[in-house]
Amino acid sequence: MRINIDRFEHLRPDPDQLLTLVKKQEQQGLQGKLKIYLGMVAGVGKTYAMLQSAHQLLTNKVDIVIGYVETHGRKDTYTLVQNLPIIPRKKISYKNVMVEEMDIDAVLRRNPKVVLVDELAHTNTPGSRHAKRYQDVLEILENGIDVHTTVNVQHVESRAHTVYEITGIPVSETMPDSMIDRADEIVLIDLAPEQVLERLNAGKIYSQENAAIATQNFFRQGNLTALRNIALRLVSERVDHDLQDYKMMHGIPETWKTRHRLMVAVYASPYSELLISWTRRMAYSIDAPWFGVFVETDEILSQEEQSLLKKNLNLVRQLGGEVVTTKNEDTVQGLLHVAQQNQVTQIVIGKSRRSWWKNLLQGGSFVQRLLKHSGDIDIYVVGGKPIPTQSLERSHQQQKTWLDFKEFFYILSGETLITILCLLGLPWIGYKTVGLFYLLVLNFAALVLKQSSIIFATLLSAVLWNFLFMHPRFTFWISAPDDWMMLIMYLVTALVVGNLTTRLRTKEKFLQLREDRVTALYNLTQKISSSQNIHDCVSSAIEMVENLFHARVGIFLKKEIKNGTMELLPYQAGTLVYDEKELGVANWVARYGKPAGRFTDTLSFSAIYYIPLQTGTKTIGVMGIQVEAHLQLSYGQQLLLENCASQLTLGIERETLHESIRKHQIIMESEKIYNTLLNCVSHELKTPLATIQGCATTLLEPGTIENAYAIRQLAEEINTSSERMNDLIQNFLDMNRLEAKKMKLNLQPCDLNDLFSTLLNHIEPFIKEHPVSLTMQDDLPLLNLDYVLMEQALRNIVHNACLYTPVQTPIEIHASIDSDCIVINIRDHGAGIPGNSPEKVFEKFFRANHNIPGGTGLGLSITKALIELHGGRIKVENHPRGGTQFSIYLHLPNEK
Amino acid sequence: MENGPTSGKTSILVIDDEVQIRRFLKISLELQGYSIYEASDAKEGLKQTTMENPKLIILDLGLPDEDGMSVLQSIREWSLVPIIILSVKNDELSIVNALESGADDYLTKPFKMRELLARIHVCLRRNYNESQGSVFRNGELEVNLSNRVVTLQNKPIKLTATEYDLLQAFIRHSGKVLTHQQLLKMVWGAYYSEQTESLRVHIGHLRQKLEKDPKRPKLILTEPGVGYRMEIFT
Repeated sequence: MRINIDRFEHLRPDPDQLLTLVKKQEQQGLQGKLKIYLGMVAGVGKTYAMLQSAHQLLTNKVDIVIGYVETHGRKDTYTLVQNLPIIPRKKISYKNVMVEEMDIDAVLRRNPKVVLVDELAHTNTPGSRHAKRYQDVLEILENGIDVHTTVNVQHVESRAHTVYEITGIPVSETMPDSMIDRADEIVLIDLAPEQVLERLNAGKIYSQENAAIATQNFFRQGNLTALRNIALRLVSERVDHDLQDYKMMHGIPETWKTRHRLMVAVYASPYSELLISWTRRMAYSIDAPWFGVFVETDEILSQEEQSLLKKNLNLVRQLGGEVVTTKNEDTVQGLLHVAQQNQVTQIVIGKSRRSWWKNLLQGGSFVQRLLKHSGDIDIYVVGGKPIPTQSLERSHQQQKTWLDFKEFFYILSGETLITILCLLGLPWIGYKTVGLFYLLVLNFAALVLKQSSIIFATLLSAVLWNFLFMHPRFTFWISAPDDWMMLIMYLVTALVVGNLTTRLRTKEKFLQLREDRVTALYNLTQKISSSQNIHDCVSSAIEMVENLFHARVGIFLKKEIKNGTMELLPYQAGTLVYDEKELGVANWVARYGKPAGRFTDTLSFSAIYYIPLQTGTKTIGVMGIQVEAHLQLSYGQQLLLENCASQLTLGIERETLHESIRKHQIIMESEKIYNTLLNCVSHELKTPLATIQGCATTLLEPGTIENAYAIRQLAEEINTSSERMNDLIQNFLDMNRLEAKKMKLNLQPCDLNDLFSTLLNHIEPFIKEHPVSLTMQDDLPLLNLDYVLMEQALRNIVHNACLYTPVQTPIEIHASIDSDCIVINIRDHGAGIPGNSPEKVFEKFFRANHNIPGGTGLGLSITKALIELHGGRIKVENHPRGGTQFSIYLHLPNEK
Repeated sequence: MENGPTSGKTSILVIDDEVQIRRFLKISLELQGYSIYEASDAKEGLKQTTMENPKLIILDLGLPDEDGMSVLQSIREWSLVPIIILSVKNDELSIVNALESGADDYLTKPFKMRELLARIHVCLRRNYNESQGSVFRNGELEVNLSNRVVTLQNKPIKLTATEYDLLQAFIRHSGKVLTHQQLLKMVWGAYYSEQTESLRVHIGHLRQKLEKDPKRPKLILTEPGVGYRMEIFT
């Protein structure tokens, strides 16, 4: 039995894999379908085939349009294009030349079922939305439009290098392999090489003279066969994957596969690109996930190296790999650490080009050490030459940095000065000391200047010393052997010292930079976590990023506008300079959740770099950063910026949650009040109502009518209950009017003595149980009061005192003048108000003791409102000698 | 206690915190010949119950010191005295709870005196005639409990076993409200306490056979949200 289960388990597909597969299918369900016509070389008839099937679809009434099709002046193709609806191309002027590109906005607006887009690997003219056409296609697909497209195999990123190796011609336009993976359907347009040549010679591909050149270069029979091989293999790999997916989805057991995980070391080198596409090919063929790892060491990367690194890391992402960066002094240790963390089974590295003495210093070459420590991880060492165009570019850039005239000028002037000084002081110091002076200058120079400049300075100073000071003077000849020795020693010392100093300096600078980054991020986190609302969050983030990058920063946040649609609004645009166009870019970023603008491939005409603020899969807003035109963002800076953005996102999300909790609490609070009100109304109204109905129905009972005493009693009960109900309703009405500020006072001069006697008459039944003592100052003036309302206000207090204190405890009322006020103190001798805040008794529906029947908790809040309406104030405290004391302060009338 | 009950009369204890309610109940019930004890809170109520041994208790659920429910439960620990719940809460849940904790009947404030008197009658009579004869009569309905023969207007009525069991439950507690749960337990046993649907169906069948107009039942009445009650015709 158990064996059976085990076997079953064994055959079951990996749930994770299945999930990715289902996700892939789901995603494809929402998005448009991609159909790629793949050819081995130009002229095999991809476009023709695409157009033909388009005609087929058109006759089936499918809404199909041409987004971009290049006929290359081929007649057959041209005829086919004629009968299809075409979306006009967009004209972009670039360096005074009008270039035509696909109008992606027009395509999206037109929203057809299918759009035809030729030449997937095409590079768009600068100023277009995306740098590459395949990115346009991805956006179209994301909007649910199907795309039919064509591409040649040499343009597929991972094959480009192979094609270069075979044909010797570098491929400039490439497209990531992920597009091949993304394709729902791949149609291979296969043609025997002989037929291709035939077509070429017949002028069906290029014009006659161009064809001749082509035959000699690219279109050689050998090349064509190789390209055909590559194309067939690419498609067969893809078909193989489809088959595996199908098997997995339909539970067809397949042979057990080991879980491979590949990792490739990424460097700031053009050579790295080769390793990356090699790894991707390998990973795809064994169906394994893969990583590109960059180990950040102490080594400083130049601007060019940084952009190269950025490019390589982007390549990893484009090819579907995952990018991992780690910090470690030692590349080998860094790589192995990442490998162990990610259960990597194979590591791909390049052949080391490091000098032998560096290897010696670190105890073996890079490869040797990696092999030694890698344990059971396989290591692939891949060789090859980088594609030449890029290395040319690089050496060109390097030359540029060698020539720094400014620094040379400093050196010349510095050394001239010291030479003149030495010449003047020569009689006293002797020519040997001169060398030390030069060394001094070099040391200082090394603190500020580049290493190349230092080498120049060393050589220059050696020449000057020799020529001007050493015997025989004014010749390059040195007569004494010890002078020779001295000069050589000088050169070596100067070079070593200079080199060490500059290295130390750059290292320090690097550490400082790293420190700054960490501190900045720490500060930002702290600021954001301490901020109270979204506004503070955003402000502190803007301030930090602005200071950090010396840039203008703005935040755009998505806001829900009417009928549930989301709109991106500048939340705090800060100093950011933006217009409609820039807002459009920001909207694009918010919509697709990908960075765009400057430094990216998308909408790169923009002067601002935009990164999405993302929580999980949702984009809540966009951060725009505008650095000065001549500045670039390094990889590290970009990472830092991303970190800042994610910190901000977390902060905003946290605050949004807080806000919704706060709102919820308010709702809960009002619900609580509502419930209290409801309970109060139902209890307080129903009790007298029950009495009234009970009495009335008793009166209706036969037999009651004969008992006059009972009738009278019942009638009295009905009366009392009606009064109680009336009081309650009056309370509610008063409260309502007070709250709506509609209560009008009928002010007239009143005598407090009179007022209190009315009050006591009103509550006679209660004061029978409580002796009330009334003490009034003799010369109390008349007060301007609303007699009825003030009596009600004070009565509530005395009434409460009667209800809430034990029978026979006294109640004291005292009134006196205190400067410009009359103070009325009403004190009972009960237990006092429980809790620490007696002021709570003034809150609506507050009841100190729920055990006392009757009462709504409204009386004292009405009292307070009434007294405040009179311009007075009331306070309550538990008297130190027991009981509760209310103090009412009423203003004396102005003496005229 | 100055108005203590006179001997020989049936004594009723009113436990209610509202003095007005107590006062009018005292007047009204004394008119009907009952003698009344009063208690304003739970503590006092329990004390009076043990000391005076009333024949019936009218209990308010909202008491100042303790919940009326706990008073009910503590009385039920040692006494089967009929208890009528008087409550302003018209949430059915607390009523059902009270009934299932052993209350005999309930009324929500405000109420008509006639209704209260009718409930009191039912509770007291049931208490006295718990072991009445083998023939139960209610208006035109006659049930011979010994040979399980049911007649309506002297015509025999055929009932299924379940319908008969239901009718028997109503007869045993005639005039008293029975909650859904109580009925289910009495007829189907302790394990079927969830099937209120089937209870409704059988009540429907019973009404078809016993009521003149099954759509406007007069005999087996629905207490909304609580349960059913058999009306007693005198």
